[in-house]
Amino acid sequence: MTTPLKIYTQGDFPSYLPKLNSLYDELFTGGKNLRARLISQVSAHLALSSKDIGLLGQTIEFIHNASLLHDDLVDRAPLRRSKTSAWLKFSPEYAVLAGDYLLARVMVNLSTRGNIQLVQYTSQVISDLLEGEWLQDSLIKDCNVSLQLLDRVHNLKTASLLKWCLRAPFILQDSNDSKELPTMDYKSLHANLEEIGTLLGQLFQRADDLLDFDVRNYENKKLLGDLTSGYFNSFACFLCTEAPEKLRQQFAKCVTIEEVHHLFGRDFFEQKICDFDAENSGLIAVYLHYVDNLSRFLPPEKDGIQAVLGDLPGPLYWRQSP
Amino acid sequence: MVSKRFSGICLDLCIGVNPPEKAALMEFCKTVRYKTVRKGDVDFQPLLQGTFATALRAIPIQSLNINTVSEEITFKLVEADQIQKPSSLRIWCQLVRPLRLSLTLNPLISIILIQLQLGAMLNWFVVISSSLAAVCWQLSGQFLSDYFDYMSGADRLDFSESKNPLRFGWITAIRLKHIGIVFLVFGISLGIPALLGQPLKLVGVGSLAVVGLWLFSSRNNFFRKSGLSEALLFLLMGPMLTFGFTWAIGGHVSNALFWVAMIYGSLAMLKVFVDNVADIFVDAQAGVETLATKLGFDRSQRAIQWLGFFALSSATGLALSSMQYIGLALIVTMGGFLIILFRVVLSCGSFATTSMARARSLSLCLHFVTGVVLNILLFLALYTKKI
Repeated sequence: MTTPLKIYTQGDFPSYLPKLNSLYDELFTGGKNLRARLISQVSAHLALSSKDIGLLGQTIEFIHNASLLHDDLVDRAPLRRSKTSAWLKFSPEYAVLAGDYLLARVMVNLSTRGNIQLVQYTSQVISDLLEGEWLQDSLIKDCNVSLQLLDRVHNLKTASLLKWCLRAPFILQDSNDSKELPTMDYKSLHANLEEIGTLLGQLFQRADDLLDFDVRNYENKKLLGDLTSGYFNSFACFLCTEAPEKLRQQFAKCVTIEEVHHLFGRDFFEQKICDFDAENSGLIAVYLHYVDNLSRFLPPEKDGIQAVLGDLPGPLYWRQSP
Repeated sequence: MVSKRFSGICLDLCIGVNPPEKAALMEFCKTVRYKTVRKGDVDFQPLLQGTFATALRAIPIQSLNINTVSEEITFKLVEADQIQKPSSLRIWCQLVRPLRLSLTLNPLISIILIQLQLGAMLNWFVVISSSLAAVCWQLSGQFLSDYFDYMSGADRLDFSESKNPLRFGWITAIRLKHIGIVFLVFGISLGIPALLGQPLKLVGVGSLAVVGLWLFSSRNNFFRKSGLSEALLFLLMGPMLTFGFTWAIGGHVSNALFWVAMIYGSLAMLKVFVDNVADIFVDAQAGVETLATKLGFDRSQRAIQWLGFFALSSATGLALSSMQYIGLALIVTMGGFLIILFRVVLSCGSFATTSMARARSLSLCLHFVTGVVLNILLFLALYTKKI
């Protein structure tokens, strides 16, 4: 996943809209383009044209970055990728409109491509993303949210985009090859991809939540960002399982990682990290089972996809460099 | 095989995991087995029911994609004797849900106390057998409902504690079904003495009850789609239970019984409605229609208040018509509980907040406490002849 990816060109957006291109230049530089790279790697085994692969990569990055523009404004986050957030640097109005414009471009580009199933699925994913954001916002300052409920929110927010990265190439390929698979297997293939995407999203989100507590934080991301915003992320929920109300309230007020260590005890905190990793190792085992299952649907020449997907828990959860 | 690679990937990349944990993870990787089957596959039913092997249990993996694209279930195969089970008492408590028995027991006790006050000549053998029959019917309904929900996959969306015995493999589905059938047979047998005493009335009530239960339980029918299943529950747990049991034990109908039927019916309806509001997201995703999914979250919050007022009005009706000043204790108790319930429900920004989970417990406690207080007051009234 090291080949540089060009997500957009100057010609993708009108030059007569003031500051729009500057805003997007700032937004798209510095990103890892993880989702576009995933699409690129999966699509390489499906013999899609480079134009289609480019379209898919651009689509997912537009959706993802649109959500970041809106997220940063909703959360009043001052920084994004170590740079001033768009809503602060330009204006809140421009941040909202820029996000909306990216989503509109997605619809224009996909409808021009002409695959109605892909348009339908993409609309559903955008809808799910927004639902997840809405629900997450309702959980601010709730110290008793359960991990199962949070998983549902993350399934809408984080996992829906990763599911799209897995399913969209197959949807396009299916329209190109006029259905290689019988109907039932096609449904089962996509069901399998849904499960893979769900688990990948869950693992990715949980790893991201661990960064908040300085676990495998190799990029030196700011600590306790979620907690200080009043949001109990997945590890915070796990840490507080069976904790009394008073402890949860005190935990919610912590502003430094040292305070968290002091509140729970360093040994208890470290043990909880191990327990959380063990639970997520279980998810990885289920994930790999579903990846293995793909061999029921994929012809031998496409089994490279399994190798690509099988390698993902490393960088996505354990944060190892690819 | 990618699965074999898992051990290597997982262990090589366990950065920050110390050697003892790595060894534990390696053992975990070796022992876990998964199997994915389609609903039409020959081993699907045996895996789900637990009849495929005596030494292994197949535990369905939770999926967040139920009733979306998926028509398959993945099972985790574990050795039956490796499953860590709590005590039998705890398993039974989670299956039986003792507090829920008050939904049946409290009304029965109230009816008996009212009949004693009215001077009805009760056949105590029929009273006891009918009471036990009602409890057996409720337990049978619970167990069979859990079994059918499990077989249809509905419980893979449900994280409540009552689903733990099946979800964690503490009991097989087929065993739960058999226990449900045994309780059903007991319920029918224990109801025979009452049926012999009042055949026409009880066959009528019984038939309506069976139809009502089917309409309430089955997923796709007119009542569900119209959002009327909660109203059906009001009829089943209110007037039908109250008057049906009264006829069964040879009792007399009175004003007090009417109000008691209204109270218990509305509280049972409130309890189920609050549950459905808490499950609104899961039900909407699974395509299950309830009154809550039809009204939406915001209007459902207001509907809870209206149902609460209706229940309180029924209690006021009972107090004014039949209980005089001691009925005030019932109104105050119910009113106090309802205020707490309303505050919790109105403080919920969405179904996703934990306040909705508290509202679930509160609505069941409301039914239980109201029943207990009412029965204490009826018992006192029996000695002071205030009814």
